[in-house]
Amino acid sequence: MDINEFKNTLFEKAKEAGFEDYEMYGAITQNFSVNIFKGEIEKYRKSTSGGVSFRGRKDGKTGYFYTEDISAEAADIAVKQALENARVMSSEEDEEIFEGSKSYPDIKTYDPTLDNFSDDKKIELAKDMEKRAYAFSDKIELVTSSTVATGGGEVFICNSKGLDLSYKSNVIMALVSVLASDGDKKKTGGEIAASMDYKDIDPQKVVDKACHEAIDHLNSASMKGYTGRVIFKNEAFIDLLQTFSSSFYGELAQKGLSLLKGKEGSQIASEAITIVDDPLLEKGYASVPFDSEGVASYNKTVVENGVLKTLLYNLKSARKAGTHSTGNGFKGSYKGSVSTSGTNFYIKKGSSSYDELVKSLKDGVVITELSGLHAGANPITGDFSLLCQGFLVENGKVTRPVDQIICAGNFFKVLSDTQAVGSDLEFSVSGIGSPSLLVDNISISGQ
Amino acid sequence: MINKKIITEILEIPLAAGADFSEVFIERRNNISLSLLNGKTQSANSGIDSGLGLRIINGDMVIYSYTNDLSEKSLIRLAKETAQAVKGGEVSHIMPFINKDIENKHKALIMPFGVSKSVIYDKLKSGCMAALDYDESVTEVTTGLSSYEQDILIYNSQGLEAKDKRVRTRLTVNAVANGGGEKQTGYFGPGAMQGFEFAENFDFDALCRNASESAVKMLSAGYAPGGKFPVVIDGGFGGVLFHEACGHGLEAIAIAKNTSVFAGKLGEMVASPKVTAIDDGTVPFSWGSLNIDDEGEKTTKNILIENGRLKNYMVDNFYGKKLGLKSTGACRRQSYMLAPVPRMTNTYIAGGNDKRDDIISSVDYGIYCKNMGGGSVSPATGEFNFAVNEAYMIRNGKIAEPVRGASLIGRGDEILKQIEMVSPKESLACGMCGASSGSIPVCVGQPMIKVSEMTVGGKA
Repeated sequence: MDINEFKNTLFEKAKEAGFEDYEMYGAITQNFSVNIFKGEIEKYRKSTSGGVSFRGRKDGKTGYFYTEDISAEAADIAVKQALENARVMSSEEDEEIFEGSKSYPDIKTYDPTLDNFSDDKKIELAKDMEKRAYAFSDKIELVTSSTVATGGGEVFICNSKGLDLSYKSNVIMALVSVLASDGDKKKTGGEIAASMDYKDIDPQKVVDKACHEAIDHLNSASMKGYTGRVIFKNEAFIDLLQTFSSSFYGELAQKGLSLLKGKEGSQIASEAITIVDDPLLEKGYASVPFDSEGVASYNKTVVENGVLKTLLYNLKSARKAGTHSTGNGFKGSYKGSVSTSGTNFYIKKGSSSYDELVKSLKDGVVITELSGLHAGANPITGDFSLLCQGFLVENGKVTRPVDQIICAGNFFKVLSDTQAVGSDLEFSVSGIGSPSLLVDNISISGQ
Repeated sequence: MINKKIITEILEIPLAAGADFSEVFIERRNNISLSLLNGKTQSANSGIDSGLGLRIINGDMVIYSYTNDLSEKSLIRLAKETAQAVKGGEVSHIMPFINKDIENKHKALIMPFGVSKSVIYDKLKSGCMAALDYDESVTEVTTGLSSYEQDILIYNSQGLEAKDKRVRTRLTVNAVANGGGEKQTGYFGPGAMQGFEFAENFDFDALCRNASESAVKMLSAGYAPGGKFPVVIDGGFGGVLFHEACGHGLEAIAIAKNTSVFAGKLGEMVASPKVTAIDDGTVPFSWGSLNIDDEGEKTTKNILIENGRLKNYMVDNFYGKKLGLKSTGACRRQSYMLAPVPRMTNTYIAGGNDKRDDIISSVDYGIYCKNMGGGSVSPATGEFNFAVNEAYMIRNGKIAEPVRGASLIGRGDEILKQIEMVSPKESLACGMCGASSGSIPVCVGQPMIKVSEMTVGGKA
C-alpha cells in the first residue's frame, strides 16, 4: 500500500484504539556512495529506503512504534504495540502532539542542481581525489579510501491536530583517508567536505588536508608530561564539544544527567566563550526549518560571554521547565523517539589567529586530534582522559609532531579556563563548530 | 515472503550484466526496548525493520543496494538499477538453490512481541530500586532492556539458500553516584542469544547493586597517576583490550587491504607464548554467537593465535578469496542496509596457568583494572586507547586504594608481546562493535592478565 493509504489506515485504527492524539512521522531517503581503491571502484552503494514512526497519546501517556513495513498488518501491530508502550510510560514523560508554529522559516536545505550531478561524475570525483592524494607526496603509502556520497530525502509529519509539514534536503560529501609512511612510522589522516552545492567541493583542498594530517605527524614522538596551558585546534575541540553537547540539553539536566542543571543565568565559562545554536545558518550542515515535533526553528544564544542563557528544549522538557521549546526536539531517525539535539551548535569565533594563539602559548602542546571519545570521556561528569596527537610548541613556534600522549581534564573546567578563542571557526559535517582555543590547567601525560 | 521466482530473477540480472556473484539478504526484525530512570519509564519503543539487501561482486568491486519496498516491481527495478554499475564480464547463470539445513543451536523461548511490557517494567523497576537502595549517594539509576527477533534469509548465485533466526536480549544498568559536586558512574550490560527468558532468569537486582558499588567506590577515588607501569586487567570486559588492540587488525578486510600490523604474519610469533586467542561464533546462547554468518556460512571456533603464534584471521568469502583463506563464518552486518565484511563474534584470550593471587602479588607498583570501559584503535598503526571504569592501585603486591580517570594507551602488536601472566578460565562480556558493516553484538573476553608495562593516562 502507498504511504497515504497507510497513514489513513493507521489513523483509523489509532482512533478506534482510543488514542486521543496521534501522529505519523516519516522519512524517505535516497543514498548513493562510491568508494575508490587503487583506481577502481571498490564499493558502490545505492538505495532508496524509508520508514514511519507512530506516536499516540492516551490517558496522559505517549506510546511509540515504528515500521519499515508499510502494510495493513504492520498498522495493526503498530497501534497495539504503541498502546502497550504507552501504558508502561511514566505520565511525567507525556508528550505533546503539536498543532504547529505560527510560521516557518524559509531556508534552503535542498539544492535541485545536485540531482543533476550524475553518478558518473561522482565516480570521477572520487577517482580524481585518489589520484591527487597519491600525487601529493611519495610518503602517501596508501589512500585507504576515497569516497563520494550523496544523500537526499524528505521528512514529513502529519497528525490528528491538523499539522502537515514536510521538507526536502540533500547533501554531497567527499571523503579521503590516507596512510602515510616514512619507512618506519605510519600515520593516518582523513578529511571530509560536505555541501548541498557540489561546486563547493574542492577535491584538492580535501586531499591537502588529509595528506597534511598524516604526513605532518610522521616522526611523532611522545613528550614529557606537564600540567598547564594547551591549544585545542578547532578540529579537536569540535570533537570535544560534540561529546559534551548533551550537557546543554534541558532534558538531561532535568534527569540529573548534566552538571549544567540549574545554572541558567550563571557564569559557566570564561567571558571569551559564546555558544550559539543556529538552525537557520546559511549552508549549515544541520540547518532545518522545523524540528521532529514540528516546532519552527530559530537562532538562539546558549552561552553569552560565559553566561549560560538557555538550555536546549523540546516540547516536553520545556513544559517541565516552564518555558517554551527552543525547537530542538529531534529524533535520530523514524526508529527513535523525540529527544533533544543541537543543530548548528558552535562556539563563536574570537579575534586571535591560530598563529597568535601559538605565540601566546609559548611552550606547550597543540592538540590536533583526540581519540576514543566514546570511551575516554564521560558526558555526565565532564571528565576526559584521551589519547591525542598534536604538535610541540617551544618558544612560540611549532617544533615537532607529538603522539602517544594523553590529555586529561574536565570539559566544564576547560570552558572556564579558556584564555583565548581563535578566529579559525570550523564545522564538522554534523553541524558542531569551534575555533581553536587556548586553555589552561590541562594535564598531559607522556613519557 | 518473496517468492523464489522473483529472487532468481533478481540474482540473474547482475549475472547477465557480467557480475561474478550476486546475493540477496532478506531481513525482518522485531525490536522492543524499554528504559527506566529511578523506577519511571523514560522510553518504551518497539518496531519492525524490514528490507532486502542486494550484494553484487564484479571483480574487485562490491556493489550494494537495498530497499524496504519488497514488491516485485520495486525489487526488479532495484536489481536493474544496481546492475548498471557492473562493468561487464563473462555472463554466467545462477545455480539451483540447495537449502542449507541449519540447526538452531540457540533456540529462544520468549519472542519480543510476545512479552508483556508490564513484566519487563517490573523487572527494570526492581533493579532501579536495588541500585538506589545500595547507598544514599546513588541518585540516578537507569535500567533498560532491549530484545529483538531477527529472521534472515540468504540466497546467492552459487545456489546457497539459508535461513536463520537470531533472538537476542540485553539488560543494562547505569548507576550515578553524587558527592562533593562530582558524579561517578557504574555500568553493566549483560546480554545473550536468547529471548526474554534470559532476563527472567537473571539476578538483575544483584547486578544493579554492583553498578552502584562501582560508582560509589570511584566517587571517593583520587585520580590515577600517569606514567608507565605494570597493568593487571581483569577478566570479562577486560577483553576489550584484545578486541580493540588486535581483533580489528585480524579482520581479513584489514589484512587484504594491508592496513593491519598483522598482515603477512601468519605463522609468526606475534604475541607472548602465554597468549592463545580465539574467535568463536558457536558459543551456545552467547551474545556474539550466530548459527550462520550474514553470507550464510556456518560459524566456527577459530583459533587466531596459539601460544603466541598467528594462526588465522577472521575471514569471509570475498576477502578470503583474495587471501587464499577459507571463510571462518565471521562475515557480518548490522542489517540489510549494509554489505557484510569480516567481523568478530565472541573473541577472547583463552585461560592460562597463572593464579590470580600470584599475578597481583607479582606487582610492586602498578594498576589493577577491574572494569574496563570502551576504546578505539587505528588498525593501520595498531595504536589504541581505552578507558578504565574501575581501577585500583597495586602497592607491594596488594590491591590498594581505588583510582579513577585512568586510560590505557599503546600499540596492539607491542602489548601482545608484553602479556606476562594469564590466569585460568576466561569469561565473556557483551558489547556492541562498530565498523564499516555497522554496529553488531559481540562478546569480548579474557581471564585476568598482566601486561609488563603500559602507558597509563591519568593526572600527572
